[in-house]
Amino acid sequence: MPSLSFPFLTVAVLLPLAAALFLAKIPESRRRATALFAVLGTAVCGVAASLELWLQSARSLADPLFAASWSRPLLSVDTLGAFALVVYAIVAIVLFSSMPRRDSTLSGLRNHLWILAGATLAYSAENLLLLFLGWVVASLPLVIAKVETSTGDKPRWHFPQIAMVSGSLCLGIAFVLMVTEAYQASGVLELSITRLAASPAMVDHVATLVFLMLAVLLRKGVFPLHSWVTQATEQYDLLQTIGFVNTHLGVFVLAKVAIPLLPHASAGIFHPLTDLALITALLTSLMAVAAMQPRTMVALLAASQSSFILAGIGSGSAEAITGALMFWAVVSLATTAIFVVLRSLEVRLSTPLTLRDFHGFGHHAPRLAVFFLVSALALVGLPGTLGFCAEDLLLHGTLEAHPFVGILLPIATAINAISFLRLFNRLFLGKRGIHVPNIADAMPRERWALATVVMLIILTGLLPGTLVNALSKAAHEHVIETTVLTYLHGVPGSAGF
Amino acid sequence: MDPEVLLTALVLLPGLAFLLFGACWLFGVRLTEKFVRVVSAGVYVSATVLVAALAIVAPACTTVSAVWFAVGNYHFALSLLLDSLSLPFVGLTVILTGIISAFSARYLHREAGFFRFFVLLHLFAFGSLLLFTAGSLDLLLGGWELLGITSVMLIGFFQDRPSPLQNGLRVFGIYRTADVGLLLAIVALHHFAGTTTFTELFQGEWPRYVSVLHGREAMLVGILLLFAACGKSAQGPFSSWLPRAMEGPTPSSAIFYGAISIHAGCYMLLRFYPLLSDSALVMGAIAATGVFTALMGTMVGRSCTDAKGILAYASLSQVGLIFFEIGIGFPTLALWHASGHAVVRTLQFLRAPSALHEFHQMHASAGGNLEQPGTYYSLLVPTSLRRWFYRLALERGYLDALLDRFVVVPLRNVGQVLLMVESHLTSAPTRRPTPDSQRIPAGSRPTRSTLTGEVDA
Repeated sequence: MPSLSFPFLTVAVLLPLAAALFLAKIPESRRRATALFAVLGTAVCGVAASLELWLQSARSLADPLFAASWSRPLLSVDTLGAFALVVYAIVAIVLFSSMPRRDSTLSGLRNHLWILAGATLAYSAENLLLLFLGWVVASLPLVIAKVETSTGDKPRWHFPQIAMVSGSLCLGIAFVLMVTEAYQASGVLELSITRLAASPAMVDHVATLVFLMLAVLLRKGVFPLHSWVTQATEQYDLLQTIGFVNTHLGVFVLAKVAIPLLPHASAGIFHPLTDLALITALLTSLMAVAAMQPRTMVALLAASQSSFILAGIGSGSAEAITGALMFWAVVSLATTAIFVVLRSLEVRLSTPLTLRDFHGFGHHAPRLAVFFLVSALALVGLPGTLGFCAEDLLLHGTLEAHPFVGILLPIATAINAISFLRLFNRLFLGKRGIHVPNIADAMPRERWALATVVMLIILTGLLPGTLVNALSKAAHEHVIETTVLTYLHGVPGSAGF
Repeated sequence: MDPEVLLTALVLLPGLAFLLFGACWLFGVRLTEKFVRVVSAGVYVSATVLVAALAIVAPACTTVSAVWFAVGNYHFALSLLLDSLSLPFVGLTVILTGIISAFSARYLHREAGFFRFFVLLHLFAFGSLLLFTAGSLDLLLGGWELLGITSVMLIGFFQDRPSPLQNGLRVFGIYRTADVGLLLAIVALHHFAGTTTFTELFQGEWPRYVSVLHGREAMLVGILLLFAACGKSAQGPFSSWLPRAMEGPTPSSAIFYGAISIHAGCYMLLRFYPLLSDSALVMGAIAATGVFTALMGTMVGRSCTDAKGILAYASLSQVGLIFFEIGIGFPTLALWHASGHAVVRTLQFLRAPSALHEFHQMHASAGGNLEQPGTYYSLLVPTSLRRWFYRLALERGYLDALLDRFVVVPLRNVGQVLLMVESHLTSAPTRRPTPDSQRIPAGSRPTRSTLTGEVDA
């Protein structure tokens, strides 16, 4: 495998990791700047690695740091990983730069850095152990989050924590089973994802797939295991939650590991997976109609729209998978902007937000209102934004393979659009009540971060060609080639499912 | 002068104005009313010149085509089409929007939302031109949705009052519901014909197109398109949104619900006329919907007490008649009717405030004995029946009540039940009391407002 010119990936992983570990030793006044520096460094390295991959037109590039000494790379970047790295880099920069001061505590900054380090490690992992480590590290902040009950009792385990621990366990068991099967067949302990995928001894084992799918469903928040997203948003740090959700590690593991390593079995579960994703989309959209708290509503809407990513991957067609990956980008950027705006409103008020009254914040914070509206409408496919292109591809690609999708997708999107507008009306329009204080509009750090996100969503929506080509390539490499080859030519030694 | 360049420039002009104003606002550049007025005037004067040039130099059918993005065998074509159907609508859009722009510069002088109005007006104009010049149904959807969003934003223009916001949400809900039909029609066309581009779907020139789809496929697509058109043009069961939309400023009511947006559904049906005419069922449904709406609009309009409400129902009736004309096979007549209606209704909306004043003067001059036209004919109807019709008219055909009872309230109840079940299920394993945020407080079920009788949004 060809190598990168510089160990970008190693630096991208080590920077946030080191910052998280040593943040306590840094003076409080410099912690935020240090964390931001680590994030920017990670982003630059991730983008640099992706650029080099694109310029060299290679299928994947290995990080040179350990490849030379150990003769097999530990980290590498391919099209899917590059896409994930770039998107999450933007998400991380927006979150860090617009984070309110009251959230920039030691633990707050550290948790964000853990999530970034874990996600970066997972995206660039070349072997199963590192991918698992990345998954666990990214989940740590949510698992160890403490929620004080209203009565001041000791914190208990909550559903998000149970879901994350269970998901990590399932993933670990699945990886152990894969490695064991390969060892039994070939006598060699192989952890490399590329070599396992190419190995004729790789067998489609039902138990492996079951555990892997459980991990994916838990992590992604798919029916009936979707409630953790809502609970985490309601009770935990808002920006940390969306930073964690937008790693989309469940989808990543599905595309990077499940489909290439278990092609027959994965192809067999595409339809049920798509059905579950659609049920999630519809159920959460209906629940959002009745939600009366802003946090609950945005969590449900984010869960609903992000389910389409899984529905698209599960369809198996080039258009749908490309659309799903574009949706990944839209969901990541738009939900980040929405959550940032919501958190900005929360910190400006002393009373909790509800949707019973019109708050009229738009009078004093018109920029926040516009950023919120454009992001929300982009999420539901406003023409001129990336969401429109993504939805178009998704719809056309899924309908042939899965007609149910073609009917449910527009219905769920329509319901979500109505909920978003209701949320926007209640928060930003209407006459400001006497009890509602004057609030400041977007501060410069919020304004620039949100404006960048909105402009990205619009620019890529107006000129989607480059992004579509890149994602189409990723779709082919990770999903279509594997599934088409499996069905056309068969994989020697693999059991039918 | 290349017609393709002229057509592209025409469509892009209002979009560029929208982007200019949006960028200025984003970077904190304060624009004066005069600047906005001058730029807007320049845009629509230029657009009018372009339309005139196109009418003179463009061949019967001008097309512009480019691939926006492509994956595998699928590609999204950015194609524009100008022919004998789209040219009148384009001309009307440009001229009437220009007039509205000039009117609004004075009507909304010193209004808090002056700048916001013009930003939305330019976005609306761009969406309309995109809709009327779209060369494929995929691209038409883009303009269609922009029309919907700008319409809803302008209904909620006077945001200090709750009713415009609630009405705007209701209108948006109906729009999005109807748009599902359009999305499904697009998918069906791709499935049956492999394309949604008009030059590939239809052979020949409008109105003497020949459709490539026939039989059940044409019928299915026709029904879906009718569903979408009814939503946009406030026909049939969707007609309750139009009077709610009168909450917006008078100029926006004029351009949207008198002139352009209300006829978008008619335009789409005219564009697909050859496909629709293949199915007697679809044509019958179009005609029946039009007749029902025309009759209901006339009846309800006679019970309205506000000028814009009367005009809204008058628009409803006329568009119903246009639907009827399409349904019985007179597309050219429908096109003429739509064009004339757009001009007259725009005038009526813009004059509505003055007309009220004049009516009061006439009423006073007549000593309070001004007879309402049509009173003689209404007296021919038996009293009991007249009372029943009057009640039906007062309740606006019970359409709102039916929508609330069978759609809004059940949906919300389902959502509430799902929320409650989920919170109990996820609390149980952790033996954690249900958080305050998840408890549904007493009185949170949808309540009917005692003043308006509407379900609280």
